Amino acid sequence: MIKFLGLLVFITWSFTSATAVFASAADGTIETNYKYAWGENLDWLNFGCDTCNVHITDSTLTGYVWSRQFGWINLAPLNGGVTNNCSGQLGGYAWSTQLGWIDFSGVTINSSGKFSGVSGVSTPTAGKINFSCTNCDVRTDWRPCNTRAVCGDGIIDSGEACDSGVNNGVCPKTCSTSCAQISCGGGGGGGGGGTYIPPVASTTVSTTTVTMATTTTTMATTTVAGTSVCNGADFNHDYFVNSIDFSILLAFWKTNYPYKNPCVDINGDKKVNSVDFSILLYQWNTRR
Amino acid sequence: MEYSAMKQKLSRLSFFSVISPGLFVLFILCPVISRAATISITTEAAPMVADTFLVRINLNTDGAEINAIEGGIEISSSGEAVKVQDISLGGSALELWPDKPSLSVEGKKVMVYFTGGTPAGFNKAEALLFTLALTTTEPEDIIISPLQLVAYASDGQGSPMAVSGDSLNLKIEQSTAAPKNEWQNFVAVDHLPPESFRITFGQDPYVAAGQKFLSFNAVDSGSGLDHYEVSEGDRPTVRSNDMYILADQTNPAAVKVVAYDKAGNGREEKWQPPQAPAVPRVTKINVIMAVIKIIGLILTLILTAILLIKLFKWKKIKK
Repeated sequence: MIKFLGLLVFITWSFTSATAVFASAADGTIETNYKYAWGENLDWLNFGCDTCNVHITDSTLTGYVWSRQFGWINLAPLNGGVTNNCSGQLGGYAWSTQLGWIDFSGVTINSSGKFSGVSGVSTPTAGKINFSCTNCDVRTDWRPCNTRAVCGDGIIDSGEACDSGVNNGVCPKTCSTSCAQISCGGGGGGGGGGTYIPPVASTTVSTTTVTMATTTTTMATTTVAGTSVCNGADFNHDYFVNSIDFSILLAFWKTNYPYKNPCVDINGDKKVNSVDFSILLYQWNTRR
Repeated sequence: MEYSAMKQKLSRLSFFSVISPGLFVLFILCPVISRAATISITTEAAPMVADTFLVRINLNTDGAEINAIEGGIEISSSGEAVKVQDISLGGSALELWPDKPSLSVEGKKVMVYFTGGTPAGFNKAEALLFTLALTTTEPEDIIISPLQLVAYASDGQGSPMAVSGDSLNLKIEQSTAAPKNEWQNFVAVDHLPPESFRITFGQDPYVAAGQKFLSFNAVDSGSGLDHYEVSEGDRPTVRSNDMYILADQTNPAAVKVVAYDKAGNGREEKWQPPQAPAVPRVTKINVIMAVIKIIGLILTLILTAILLIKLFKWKKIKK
């Protein structure tokens, strides 16, 4: 009885004191000692602060990044969000209330979970984020799908004792659904070596295909938005028409063509005047 | 080719090549030509010499939705004694001003040029644009007329609309009565501060040489907005227009902006630079984990207590 109680206390204590980190190769978090990237207009960006709660999944990044100068950057805002194409190639946009949309295209996570590359393009607002600079180092325990052990794909990955694809299962099959060898007990003569049946399109493969398709769409949008194509009266490309755009319009008000920011001449008549002002007012406070 | 067939072809050609494009051009221009707004320049009483009187510039959009207007008001007089004492934007239908009404003296004429607009647009029979406070020291004839006014439709294209209107003719005569000051009365009755306004942080290479700035636009329905006073952190308060360049570009402090109307009523708004939240974000997973930990802790304590009691009893029996 005493022994049982002791065991029970130990189990309860262990369960309580353990810090639950719901992180895995498929749903990763940021490693504590590797969390900083450099934003050309954002200063150091902390991806692993106490309240950042950044999660990397096979399709998205969620949580917040902390910029000392500009505050929180939301990785999964409404109508946006940073995407992951399952192979570790990031895209899409994060949102900063101070600087607007932040492009994440051009960043990859390698098979060791290390972020690398430079995101987006130089813009007056958020600009590029560098994950490969001298002191930049952001790492996660998420791993790209193609480097991760997938039980049921017919490939014996690291950590798998076997993988017979769709033939994984319970006895009399020799490989379990968790890719462990099954010992089905005695009896039965050996029966000739089975024929290897290549895996048919498994659920995992189908999911990957869907994810890729989604990512392709997102990338197409990124390409358009990431270029210097004018977006109506959203002169600073923060996807909002507000008093900042009005200030930019005033900076060019009734000045001579050509304009350093060609977007201010909304109607393209080589003048920045009341017509452009009227169009700006029409688009005021709208999300572009 | 026969003459009649040729004539028929020519007439068809002339219709398609000349008349048709002409009709097309007319069709395109039609909305611009047919739509028009009317400006009205009014004053309440017949002013006398030494009076300070108000002249209101109103716009009748004639059923059209407009969002911007530009142009001028010309004040010409037989003498040289007329003066614009002040200009009030109080109660104006226009909220944003690329060009606030400003004075320009051209010979005996005083010109007031402006460009203003409002994001929501408006469709009113009598929309106040601004109010002029005029005074004159000598008897004279004053003509106040609209000048090259153009309104812009709130249609997303900025389609221009003609603005027509009549002049206001005033004959200023000598009076033995005490001079009236309508402007003073106008300002004196204003006890309401400007409306609440928003402070927006911005940084753009084309504005203020890329320096960080704050932008704000307050509106006052009474005597009209006069100026802003800005306090940045512990720095002394400064007067500002509707854009303030932050003095501290690296670590901006909290900024207080007070918008004052011409009667001295102030409306204060604050801007805080982004700060790291002190309290951790509450997420579902955090709450669940906290509950599990509390339950676990209680269970551990209960079980430990039972274990100790049992142990104590067992030792007692053994003895």
